[in-house]
Amino acid sequence: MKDNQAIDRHLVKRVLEGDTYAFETIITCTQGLVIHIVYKMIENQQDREDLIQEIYLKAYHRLSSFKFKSQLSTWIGAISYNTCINFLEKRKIPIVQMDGDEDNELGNLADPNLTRFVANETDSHMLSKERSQILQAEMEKLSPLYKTLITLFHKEELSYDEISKITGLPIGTLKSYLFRARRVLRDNLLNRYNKEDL
Amino acid sequence: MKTLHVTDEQIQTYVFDLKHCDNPVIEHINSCTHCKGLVREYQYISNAVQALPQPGLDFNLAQSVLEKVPQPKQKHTPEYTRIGAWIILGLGVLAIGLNLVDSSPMGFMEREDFYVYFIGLVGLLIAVLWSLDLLKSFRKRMTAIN
Repeated sequence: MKDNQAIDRHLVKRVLEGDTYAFETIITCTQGLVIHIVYKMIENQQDREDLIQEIYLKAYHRLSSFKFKSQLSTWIGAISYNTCINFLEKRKIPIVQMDGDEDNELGNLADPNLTRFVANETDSHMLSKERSQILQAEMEKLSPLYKTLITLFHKEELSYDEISKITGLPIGTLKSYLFRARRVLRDNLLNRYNKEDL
Repeated sequence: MKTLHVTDEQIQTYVFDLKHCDNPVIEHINSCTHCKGLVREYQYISNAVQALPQPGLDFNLAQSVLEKVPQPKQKHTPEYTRIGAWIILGLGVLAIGLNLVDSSPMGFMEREDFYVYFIGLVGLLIAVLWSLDLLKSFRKRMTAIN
């Protein structure tokens, strides 16, 4: 953590001194996170590409205001998230689906069973690829916020604290959204599996 | 009739946030095949999400952004050797001029002494300016390496 902060300080100092190559390093180190956020929040490919560039231009111009209270990647992640939120708000696209109160008692579910869908060691490569495609398709059906939270937690492996700093959501709210996001994804996979099984 | 199984949130807490999971919940899950099945499902979803391919861009992002970033003004750093060359040339011209006009260039010293001091001064000047340039290029290389 301290090492990361020292690297962040060094890179920021060099960019502020006019070294644009240091900014190239910042882009290379953080673009994975930014691409994940933008790709999960925004549907249209052209919009995604425009927004990613806009995010880095914003980061470049605001770099002098970075106070090192978080990692540089988290700060750029927050810019990415807010830029996407503003974009979606302008287009009046909801960022989270309004589902009704769910009954969380699992015993009330008809057949909460994905066990046949869950991959095992004997699965062929084709089968696991097919499952991966199904999962990807079901992920895409989730609302922008749910997709983003699942990706940040499970794919980017960020902590609750880091995700909270990126999204500005309190940790309690964030956990609650993550619970619902995983639950919806699981239910969608279950529905898809049951339909295909008919 | 209510089942005795734990809730979905408790299952997820067990899988993804174990340190915040209550002991009775852990004990229940460890002894319940139904809940263990759900644990495996969430673990599968997590692993599968982790294994999803990373989206990529079909253009060079860094290059594209840097083209739009205002280029910093080049800092004017003097080249000491070049400045030194002009000074030495000027001193040489001055010395030749004085030598032609007056047989004794400086009232307080002989012509030979003057040449010795002049050559010494020029040598010292070259050494100092050359060192400054070396130091400058060394610093530049160190910054590039960092």
